[in-house]
Amino acid sequence: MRILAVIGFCFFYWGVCAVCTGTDRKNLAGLRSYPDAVQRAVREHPVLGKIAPEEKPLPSILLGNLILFSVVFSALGLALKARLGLAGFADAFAFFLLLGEGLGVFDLLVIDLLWWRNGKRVRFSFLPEKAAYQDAAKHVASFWRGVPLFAAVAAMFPMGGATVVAIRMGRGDKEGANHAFMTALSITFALSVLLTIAGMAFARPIVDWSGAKGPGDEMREMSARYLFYYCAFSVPMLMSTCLSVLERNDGSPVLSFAGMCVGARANIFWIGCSFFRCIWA
Amino acid sequence: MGVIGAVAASGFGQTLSVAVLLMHFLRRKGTLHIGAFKLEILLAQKICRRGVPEAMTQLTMPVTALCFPA
Repeated sequence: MRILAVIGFCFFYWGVCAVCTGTDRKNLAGLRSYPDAVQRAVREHPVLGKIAPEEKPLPSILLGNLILFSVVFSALGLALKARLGLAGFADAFAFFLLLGEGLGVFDLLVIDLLWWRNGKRVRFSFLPEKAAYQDAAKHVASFWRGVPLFAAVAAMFPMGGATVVAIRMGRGDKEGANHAFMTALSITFALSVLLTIAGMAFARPIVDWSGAKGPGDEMREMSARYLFYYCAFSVPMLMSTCLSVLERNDGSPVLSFAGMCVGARANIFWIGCSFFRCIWA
Repeated sequence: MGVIGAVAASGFGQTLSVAVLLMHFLRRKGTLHIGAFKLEILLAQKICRRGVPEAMTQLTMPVTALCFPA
């Protein structure tokens, strides 16, 4: 039932997108989703340029989305609480997190990349060429606004796993504790692999959206390169957090502390090597 | 090296950290050890729920960082 609700909501959202497009005036409402070149052409158009909406700052967009989806999800939750079997805050949080992330992926892959880029409804009458609407950077940037949530979910499993392991060990349930440990470890590993792939594939859109586009091309390039290589190490970065908390609960706080210290000292050592190599070069 | 040197230092540091931490589980020093298991959705959900407060804490940093450029 819950999966059906997520799928239904995704298609409902798609329907809303279709209804809100189709004429120049309707398409203007979503102008910030268009590629930069199209936005410039619209703003320079003698008629549409006068009625084009003003560019909004990022915090107001984030706040607007937060209020909109809080209201929509609250209404949906209250209306379908019994039917979806939402038992308490944590259950409802898990469901709406799945709904939000599922909607984000559906919006990017189906609505934006397949329908939006190829459909005629979203095109302005003075610019009907399909090629003008092919740049997907804005859609990818929009999708990445939801990714901090995904990273937070990845952080949930080590901490949640450590709590469940501690409870089961306290009860004397060693087998159950090990099961929880392996579950937390494997899910964290799977999520870190996903983060590696996604972060390396979309390094440039992420840094653009995070504000690196403004200061200059050199800063943008360096930021994108840094993020690309940083994401390549997502697996050890998440796994070290996961292992250290679980190891601490397993009766080895000293080794857990030593492991983190070794990582920090090695980091300082290699940064030092890199720094002096730059100076000598 | 430049930017790549800085990020490689962080990455290799964490890799070394994982190697040290893994020793405990591979040598079976405590109760927990790495081995075959069956993934249960209910247990994964339970772990996820217990981790919600930490997830909220983790969310504060990226949200703050995202608000800075604007």
